[in-house]
Amino acid sequence: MITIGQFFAVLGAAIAVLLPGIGSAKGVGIAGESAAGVVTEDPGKFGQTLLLQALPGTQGIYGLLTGFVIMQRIGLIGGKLIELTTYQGLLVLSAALPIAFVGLFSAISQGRTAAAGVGIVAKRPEELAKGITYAAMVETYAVLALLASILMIFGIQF
Amino acid sequence: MAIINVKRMSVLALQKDKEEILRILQKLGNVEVVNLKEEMSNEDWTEVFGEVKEQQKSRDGIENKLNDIRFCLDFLSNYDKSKKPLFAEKPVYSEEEMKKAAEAESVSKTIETCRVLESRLNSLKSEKMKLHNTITALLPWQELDVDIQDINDTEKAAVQVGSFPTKNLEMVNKLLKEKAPESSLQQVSVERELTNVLLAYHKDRNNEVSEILKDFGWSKVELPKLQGSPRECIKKAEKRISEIETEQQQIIEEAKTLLRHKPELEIAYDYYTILKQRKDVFENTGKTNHSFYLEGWVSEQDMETVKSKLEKAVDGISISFRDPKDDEDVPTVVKNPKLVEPYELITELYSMPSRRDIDPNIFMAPFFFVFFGMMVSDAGYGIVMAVLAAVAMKMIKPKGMAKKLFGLIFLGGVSTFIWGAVFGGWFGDLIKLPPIWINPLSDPIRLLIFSFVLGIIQIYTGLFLQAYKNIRDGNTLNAIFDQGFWMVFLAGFILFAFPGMAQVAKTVVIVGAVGLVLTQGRHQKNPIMKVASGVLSLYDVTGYLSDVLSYSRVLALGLATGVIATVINTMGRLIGVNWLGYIFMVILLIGGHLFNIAINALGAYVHSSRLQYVEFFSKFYEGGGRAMLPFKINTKYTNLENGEEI
Repeated sequence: MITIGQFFAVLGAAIAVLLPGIGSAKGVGIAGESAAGVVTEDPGKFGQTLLLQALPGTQGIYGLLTGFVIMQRIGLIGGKLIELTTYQGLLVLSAALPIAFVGLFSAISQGRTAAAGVGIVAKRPEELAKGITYAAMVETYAVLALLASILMIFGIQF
Repeated sequence: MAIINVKRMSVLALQKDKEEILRILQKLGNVEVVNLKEEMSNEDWTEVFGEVKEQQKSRDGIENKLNDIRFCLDFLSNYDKSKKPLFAEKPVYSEEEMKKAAEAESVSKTIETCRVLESRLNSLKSEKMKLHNTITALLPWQELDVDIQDINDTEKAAVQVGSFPTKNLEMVNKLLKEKAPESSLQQVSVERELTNVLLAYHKDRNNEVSEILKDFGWSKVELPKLQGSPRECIKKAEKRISEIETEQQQIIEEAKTLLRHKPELEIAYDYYTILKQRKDVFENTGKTNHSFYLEGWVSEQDMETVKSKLEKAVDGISISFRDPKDDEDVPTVVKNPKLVEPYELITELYSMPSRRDIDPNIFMAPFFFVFFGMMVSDAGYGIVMAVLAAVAMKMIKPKGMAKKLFGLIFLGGVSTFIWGAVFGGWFGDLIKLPPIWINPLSDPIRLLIFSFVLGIIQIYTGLFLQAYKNIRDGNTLNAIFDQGFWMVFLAGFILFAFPGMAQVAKTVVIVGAVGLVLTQGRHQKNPIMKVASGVLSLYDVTGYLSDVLSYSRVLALGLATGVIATVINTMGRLIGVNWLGYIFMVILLIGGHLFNIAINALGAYVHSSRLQYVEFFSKFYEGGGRAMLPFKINTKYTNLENGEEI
């Protein structure tokens, strides 16, 4: 018998994977477009631009990670789905929200910053680290959101 | 172990010894030769050294040779199908050997052959392109069974080919019959909205026909001037194309046989590069008819070696050193213990220390080491990284930046191994070993606090360094006011975290706050502004708070690695049900964990760097220096033998 609580918990896992995934896909896409532009001029910059393009991809991974932790905690993986009250389910759903939304928006912003970093590499390849640092500044908030989500999920008593 | 003093070196010698001096300096590779021409005004230059022209020629000659070889190598690389090994060591030659190889006849012959082959390939390519164009032009006309040469006006008749919009065709036909009965319109083919036709008419009807043609969208087509019907011409062109293709193939085969000369070409390339660098530097020096003058930067530690080597090799050379002047663009040289050296890369990527700075590397390295390890935190991953980096260093023997990078990965691997063992992560949960200290997933809060504590230590280190800088520069009061009071103030907040210390903490906070309020407005003249600035400065505490909170990323990234590794293992267990499953499981585990290592090592590098740049360097480090660019041997394919005969 599936309860509403279980539904909410699974919804939480789904949303944690879903939104940051969308964000990362978009962010990586934005950075990739710029990178491709630079590589048409100078194919030797593939490695450097690829590094920048990979940065907005982490939010998707954080989302997957959160979703996975939820699935493990509610016994969806490697066990039996545990009984959950409606409130417990809602708690799990709430815990997923920080990484879901911050992941979505920060990945897109980070994609733009990374694209600008690709612009740095186009003209001054030796300054790659600065481009990476700018992009990493954006990622901070995704890391904080991930931390909050994970701490909440481990804090919920079942 | 810090920033090394740099001296300005002046060398005066006889013109005839210049080759030898430059050769020695290049081999030593620790002097940055100053471009005297840029530093001196034009008049001064001419007055001291006179007009200089000769050298230019021989340098151009070298440049041409380099271009030739570059061209040849690029040309041949198009046909080089051999795989390059991932970790390859550059071959080592002495200068004599290089010279011999570079001046060998086979090199110039290969270049000659490459040029011939390339021009043949090019002309074949353009011929092929032309033929393709002809075929495209003739294709719509292949139903026309007339020799192209016959499509020409005769004495009485006008003959031409062209096209009408298909919808007008009927009308044109009708009008032509009415107005110019002595004409014929032969439909050849239809392409979408256009119909291609052969039109012939009597020249007496020129006016009427022209009228019709103009009104109904006639466009005349010029066929390529060839013999035979369009169909025959297409056949001929196609035959020629296939001939060209076999010829091209032959040339490519011939080019492939030249590949065996590639090693010589590479040696020659490096040899001429070395010569060119020498000539370039020579341009920067001053010379008169018999003497030769050079200035450069050299670090204090290399000073004596350079002097003694030069004096030993060249008679009558005069070398002197002096301290840099304030307005000179002095390069920075840092010297650190071997273990810290790789971390110089992190600082170099941010900004080289200026002369006023403290070399941050030795203070930053331990933090970077710890943070990197905690962020990846898997003993298995640590072993993989350290072993890969060690193998790469052994095989490639990298230099400069690359050497530091591999060192960074190796030390990162060691740290990752240590922290992985501490947290009990061995390829996630693949090998179940109990953690030495705690499992981050079971007690994340404890680890979060531990991260903050590390952060606080680093921030305090930064404040201490700035205080030291202030005291060193004679601004002891600044050190007490700007760093000392902040340390007291922040210490008070930290004390609140300990039970039973609330009273002490309160006192400490108040002492710190009063100190800050009284001193932070000291640059203001107006007494009201003095107090206001002082009070407002307390608001900076939010900056320190966010700095400390920023260290939570150490925990978050550490958790991420562990959980992703567990995900990979769980997926592996789900597939590993029969023998086929086991095969896929092994592939998945290897691929998955390698992916996880790559993505987390990148993340750990990025975020550890950020903690240094934003949280640590902001406290004391200015940067803005310039790295020394020593005149040295810079080869691409080979290494020059070291040691002998310097």
